[in-house]
Amino acid sequence: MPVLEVKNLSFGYNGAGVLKNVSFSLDKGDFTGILGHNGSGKSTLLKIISGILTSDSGAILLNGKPVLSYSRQETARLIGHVPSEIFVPYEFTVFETVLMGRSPYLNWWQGYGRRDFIKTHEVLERAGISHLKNRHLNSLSSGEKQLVFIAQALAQEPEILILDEPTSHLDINHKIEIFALLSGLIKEKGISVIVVTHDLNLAAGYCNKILLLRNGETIYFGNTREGLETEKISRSYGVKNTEALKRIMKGLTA
Amino acid sequence: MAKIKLTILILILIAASMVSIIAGPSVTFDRDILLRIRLPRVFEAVIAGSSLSVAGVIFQGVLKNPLSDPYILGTSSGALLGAIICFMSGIGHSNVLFYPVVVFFAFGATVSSYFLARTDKNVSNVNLLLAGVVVSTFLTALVIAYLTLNRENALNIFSFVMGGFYQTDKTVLAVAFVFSMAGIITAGILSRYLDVMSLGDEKAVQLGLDANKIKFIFFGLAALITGCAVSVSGTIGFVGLLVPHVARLIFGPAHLRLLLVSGIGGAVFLILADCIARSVFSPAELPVGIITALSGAPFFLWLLRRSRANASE
Repeated sequence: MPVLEVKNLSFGYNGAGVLKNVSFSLDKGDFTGILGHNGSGKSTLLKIISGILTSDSGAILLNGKPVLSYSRQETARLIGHVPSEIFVPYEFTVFETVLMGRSPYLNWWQGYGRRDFIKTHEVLERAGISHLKNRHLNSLSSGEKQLVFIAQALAQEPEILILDEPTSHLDINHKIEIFALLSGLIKEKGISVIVVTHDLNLAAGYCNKILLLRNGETIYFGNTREGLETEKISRSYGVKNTEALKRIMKGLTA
Repeated sequence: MAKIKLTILILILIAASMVSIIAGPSVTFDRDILLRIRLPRVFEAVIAGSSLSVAGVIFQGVLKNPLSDPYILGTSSGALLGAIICFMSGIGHSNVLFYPVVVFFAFGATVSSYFLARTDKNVSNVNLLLAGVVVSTFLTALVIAYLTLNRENALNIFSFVMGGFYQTDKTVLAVAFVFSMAGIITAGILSRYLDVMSLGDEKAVQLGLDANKIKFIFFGLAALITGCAVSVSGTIGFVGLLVPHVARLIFGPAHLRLLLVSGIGGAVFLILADCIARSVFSPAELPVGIITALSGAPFFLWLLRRSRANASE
């Protein structure tokens, strides 16, 4: 049984269709990349999966059960969502921020306990940012900040980790660091990862499946090698200069 | 380190209270003046200062908006209108109905500002400020209209509008103290929600919280706490804005500590402001709201500029 199944999902903001009939599934251990032009509905799809938005039609099944049959807290124990960018007007420390990832495990009257502190230390260690734990959030580089929110999502002990353009502002070194971390987590913890990215190189190097979107419609869903064909990519992004794309894609899949 | 800073703050609170009780407009050791006039005044400043500051912390956290406080969002003017309506209908401070009515109006005004500011499920900081201005101007206009038509009561209520500590009825003070403390303690128990909410609504949902429900619970708490403050001392501006910011600079943004520290800090601020208000032009007395506005308004402008600079980065 897939961990996550998205069936015929449609969604529109004020009548404008953003997602049309999107279907895909995620198995345990999958590293799925979602690719598509700006405004193709990628982030909206993630927001529907993590319960921030509700779809107009279609179904989302988490471990075989409709996502709406879970409470918010239960959903947050299954899905960790790392947004593309998050501005916090207050100077929380890294530790305080990551600790908040334990919220899904607390009753409303409870404060954080020993277990939560231990878990927080553990995920800080795993994300390689223990040395930053007393730093203020807004004093970090965008790469470090991204790692903090990944660590926060890990503190939720999710089965599925979804990330919205985690590497868009990063240099190649930090990009690789984050994708290597994600693929390591898949191996160690048996989780599944969905990542929205614009980076074909990284998708080719790390993802085993990809979903290609164009104007909210599925162009392709399946294994990465077949998905990264020139024709599909050019259709998905509307690339006009196909000769140039061909040259680039050759280098990618070689 | 935090413990040392907290101890210092408590010592400052004690010192400020002593100064305000003994020095006041003139130094005296007359037992009657100290216990019957000055002590209740200090106690009132403590209630109003800690309540308004805590309400400010709540709004700034739950709305992820450093520029909000009960005065700016219209919560205070809502409470004021509620109090005036009570006076109009002959419901005084000693009537049990008084507090629910005041809190109800405070809550109504807050929710109105919030929904006026909301467009497409989004509430921008600037919209919220504007909506707050609209709501409090409207409510204050109603209050002023009433004052103009009922001149015989005007002087009494005018001091209420500008804020001041003239309430000496022990029962009233006790009731306000108990309810505002109950609200403050509840906010403390729920403080980790304020932490998560200050990462934004979406993040809160991703962490398993019902962001809308939490918002309204905290609006209710803030209305209760603000209602208590306004009941005893009228509307006093900028306390809820200034105190939490200074507290955050010194003690950091984690809300449990911030609530505690702002509560104490707010008390200190209003004790001192009141001390100044009645000493400077003694024997004449300024409404304490004048002092807080004179110190708070420039501070607010500075904050506004700083938050603009952050937003444009």
